[in-house]
Amino acid sequence: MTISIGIISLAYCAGCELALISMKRFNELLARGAIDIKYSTLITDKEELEKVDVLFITGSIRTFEDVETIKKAYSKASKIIAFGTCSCYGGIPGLANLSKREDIIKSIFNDITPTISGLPELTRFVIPLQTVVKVDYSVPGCPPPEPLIEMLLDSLISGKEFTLPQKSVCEECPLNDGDKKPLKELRRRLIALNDIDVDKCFMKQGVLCMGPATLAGCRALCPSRGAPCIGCMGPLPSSRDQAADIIDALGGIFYTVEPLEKILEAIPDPVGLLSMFTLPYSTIPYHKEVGVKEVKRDGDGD
Amino acid sequence: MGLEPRVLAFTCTYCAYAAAEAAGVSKLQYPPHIYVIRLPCSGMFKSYYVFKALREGFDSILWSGCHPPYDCHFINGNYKARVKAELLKAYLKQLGFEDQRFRLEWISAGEPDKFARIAKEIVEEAIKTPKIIFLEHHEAVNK
Amino acid sequence: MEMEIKPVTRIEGHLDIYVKIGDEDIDVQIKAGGFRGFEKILIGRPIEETPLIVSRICGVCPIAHYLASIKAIETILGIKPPEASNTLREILELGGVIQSHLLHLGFLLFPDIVNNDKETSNIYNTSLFKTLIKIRSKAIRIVEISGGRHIHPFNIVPGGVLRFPSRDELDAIEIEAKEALKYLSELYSKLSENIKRFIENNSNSIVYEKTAVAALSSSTNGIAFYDGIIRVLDNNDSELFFHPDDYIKFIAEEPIRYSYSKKPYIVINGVKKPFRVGPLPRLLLSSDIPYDISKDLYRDFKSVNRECSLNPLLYNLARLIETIYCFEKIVDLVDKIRRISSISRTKVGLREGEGVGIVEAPRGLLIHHLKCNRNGIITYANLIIPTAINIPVMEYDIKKIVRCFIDKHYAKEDIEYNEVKKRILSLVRSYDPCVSCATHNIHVIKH
Repeated sequence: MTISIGIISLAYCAGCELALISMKRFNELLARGAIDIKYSTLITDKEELEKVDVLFITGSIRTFEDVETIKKAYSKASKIIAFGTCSCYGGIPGLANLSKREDIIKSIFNDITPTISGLPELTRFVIPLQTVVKVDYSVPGCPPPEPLIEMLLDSLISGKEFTLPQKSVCEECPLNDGDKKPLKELRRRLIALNDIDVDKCFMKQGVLCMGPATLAGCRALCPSRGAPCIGCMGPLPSSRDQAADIIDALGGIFYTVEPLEKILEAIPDPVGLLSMFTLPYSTIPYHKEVGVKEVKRDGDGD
Repeated sequence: MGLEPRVLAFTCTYCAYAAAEAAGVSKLQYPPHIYVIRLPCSGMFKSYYVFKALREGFDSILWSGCHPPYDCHFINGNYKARVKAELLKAYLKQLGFEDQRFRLEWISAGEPDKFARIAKEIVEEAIKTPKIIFLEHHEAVNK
Repeated sequence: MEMEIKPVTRIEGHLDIYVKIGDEDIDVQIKAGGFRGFEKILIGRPIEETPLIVSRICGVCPIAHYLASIKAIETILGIKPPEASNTLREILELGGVIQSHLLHLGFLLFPDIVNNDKETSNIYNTSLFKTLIKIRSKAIRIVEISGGRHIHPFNIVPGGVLRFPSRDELDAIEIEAKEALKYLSELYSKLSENIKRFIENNSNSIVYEKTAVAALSSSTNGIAFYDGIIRVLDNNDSELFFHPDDYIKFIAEEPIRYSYSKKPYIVINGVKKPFRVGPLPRLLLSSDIPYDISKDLYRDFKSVNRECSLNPLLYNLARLIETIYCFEKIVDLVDKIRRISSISRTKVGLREGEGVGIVEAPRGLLIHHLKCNRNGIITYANLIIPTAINIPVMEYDIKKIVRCFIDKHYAKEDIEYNEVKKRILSLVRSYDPCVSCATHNIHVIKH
C-alpha cells in the first residue's frame, strides 16, 4: 500500500526537505513505491496540492500568503506533520519578532510598501504552525535528526503512533559524567574557544550549553562532535518555554558565580541565545513594541 | 474586574511570607493589590511564572526570599533565585519591558515593615506603568 | 497576451514568473517570495553565533554561508586560522558544493535527464537515480566528518576547528572521494549524453545575451572555491580583478519593486551591468585544472562549446564537471592535510571592526559583509547572494525565449504556450536558483 505524501514549505530554508530526501531509508521507500511524493515544489512538477495521506509542513508563518497556503492545504490530508523546528516553534526566523515589521520592510524597500507592488504582506510577527492549526505530529530539529526521522517513517509505514522522547539532551550526552556539583564560572562562548576541551561537558568549562532545556532525540549530536548544544530541538514536550527552562537551569548550576555581572557578560544576547529557535513559541513571543498594546486602566487604582 | 494594578508577590515560607503575615497581623498597611503566593523556598521560583503572570495581566511581579548569605532555610535557594532573577531581568529588558515589572528583594521574617514598604512602592510604580495586553498568536494574522 | 508560471517547480524556494507580451515589447517579472529578513535578524547577535544563524538562510548551501561569515569574522578579529584547519574548511566547502550539485542532478533536474523508457514510471527505481544518490551520500559523509553535520554544520569556529578529524576519519574522506570518482567516471558518458540531449531539446538556437561573468579566481590550481580574488570578464572580453575587501566599489544593489529579492549589478568603469555567476562562469574563469579526469573533461567542454559559451543551459554540464573536479581536489587536500602537523586553534578576543568574507557557493559568488562593536555584537550585515545576481539575467533570458517564439509566428496568439513554458522552466532550472537565499537582503549600496 503506497502512502502518498505532500510537502508544503512556508518561510523555510529547505533544510528539512533535504534532511528527509537525503535519508537512505527514504530513498529505499521511494524506490520500492512504498511512498509516493504527490506534491513538493522542490522535486515534483505538480503546481497544486491534491488529496494526500500525509502532509509535511516546513517553515514558519511569516506572510499572509503562508496563512492562505495552510488554509487551502489543511483539508487535503489525513495526517498533518509539523516538520522541523521552524514549523513547530518558529525557528531562527522567529528572531525577527524582535523588530516591528514596518522597520523590516522599510529597510528593504525604502518607502515603497509591498502591498502596492503585490508582494505578500508580512504577518505582524512570526508564528509557528501549531499555534494556529491542530497538527497530528510535531517533529522538531534544525534539521530533524536522522533517528527522529527514522522513527517518523516507521510510524507512517506501520501505522503506530509517533511519540517524542520525554528527556533532555543531557540524558543522551556522552560528555555527561553525572557530576552535579555547582559551577563557579560562566563565560562567553567566543572567549571560551581559547581553551575549550571538546571532550568534556561544556557547562563544566563555563560554556553555555542548551542541553538541560532541550529535547533529546538527536543523540546529543553536537556535543558528541565537539560543539555545545544550541537548543535546535526546542523544549521538552512538558514545557512551554525553553528560555524559562534554561534560565532556571543556569540558576541551579551557576549560583556560586561571583560577581553576578559575570553571568550577564557570558550571555550578551539573552533572547538570541536562550530562545534562538523558540521565540515565537515562548510565553512572550515578541518584543513589547511588536505584540503588546498599551491600554487605559479601568476600575480602581489606588 | 478586580483591583488594578495587579501585582503578584512570590514569597518564601520561612522569611518573606512570614514577614507578609506579620505585616497583616500587626495591621501594617499595605495595598490590597498584592496577591501573595507562598512557596517553600525562593530557590523554587520558576521563570515561567513571571512570563505567564505578565501575560495573564499582572502589571508587575515580586520575588522575595531570605537574605544572603546565611538566612535561607535550604542553604542556597536564595542564591539560585538571585541568578535566575538576573537573567530574567536581562531577558525582559531585551524584550522591551520596563525594569519595574520584575523585582527581587530579600525580606526576613523580622522585617514586616520592609514588606509593607516594598509592597506600597511596587503598587505605586505599577500605577505609573502602562497597562498592557498581549496579542494572541492568531492575532498576528489580523490585518 | 499573458503567461504566469506560479510557482516554478523543481527549484529551491518560491518563485513566480509573469510574462506580458505587448504590441511593442515583452515584459518579464520574476517574483521571489519567502522573505525572512536575515540581515535584520543578525543585528544584535553575538559575533560567534553569526555562522550558526546565517547557515539557516539555506538548507541546500548552508556550508557556503557558514564559511563566508567565518571568514568575515576572522577578518574583524584580525586572526588567521592554522593551515590544517584552513585546508579542512576547503574540504568542507567542496563537499558542500558536490552535495548541492548532486541534489540538482539527482532530484531537481533528474526527471528531465533520466532516460526512462521502461514500463515502470517510478524514476526513483532507476539505476541512474540510485547511483547518483549513492555518490551524493559520499559527499554527505565527507561534509559530516569535516563539518559535524551535513545540513547546518558546526565544527568550524573563528580561529580554527572544534574537533579535528582523526587519522581514520581523514582516510574515510579519501576513500569516499575515490569511490565516488570511480562511479562518476563510469557514469559520465551516459550522464553527459543525457544532459547534452536536454540542452539540445531546449536550446532552439536561441541566442542568449552575453553578459559579464564573475568568479573567485586563484593563480594556482583550477577552480577557486574558497580563497582567491574576484575575477570579472566583461562582455567585451576585457578583464577586471578586485580584492574581496573592495567589493563595494564594484558591486551595487537595488531593490526590485515587485520582488523580495534584490538586484545586484557589477560596476565596470562606472557603468552598471548585469552579470552571471555560478558553475559556468567558474569554469570559464578557472586557471589550468591539474587533476586527471576533470582536466580532460574541461578541455573537451571548451573545444565543443567555443561558440555558445554563454548558453545558460550549459550550466548543467558545468555542474557535472565541477562535481568531478571537487572530488579530485578533495583527495589532493586530504593528502596535503596529512603532511601538516599543527591542528590547534588560533587565539581569539573581542574586537570592534568590519570584515568581508567571500566564497564560491554552489550557485556562484557569495559575499558576507559584517560589522561588529567592541562588545562583539553585530551592528551591520550585508549579504550578496549568487541567485539574486542571476535572477535579473534570467529575466533577459526569458525575454529572448519568448522573442524567439514570437519571431517564428505571425500572430502572438499562435505561440505554443506549453512549449514556451517548457523552455522557460528548463532555463530557470539550469541556473539552479536558490530562492530562499536570495530573498533575505536588506541593504542598498548606492553608486
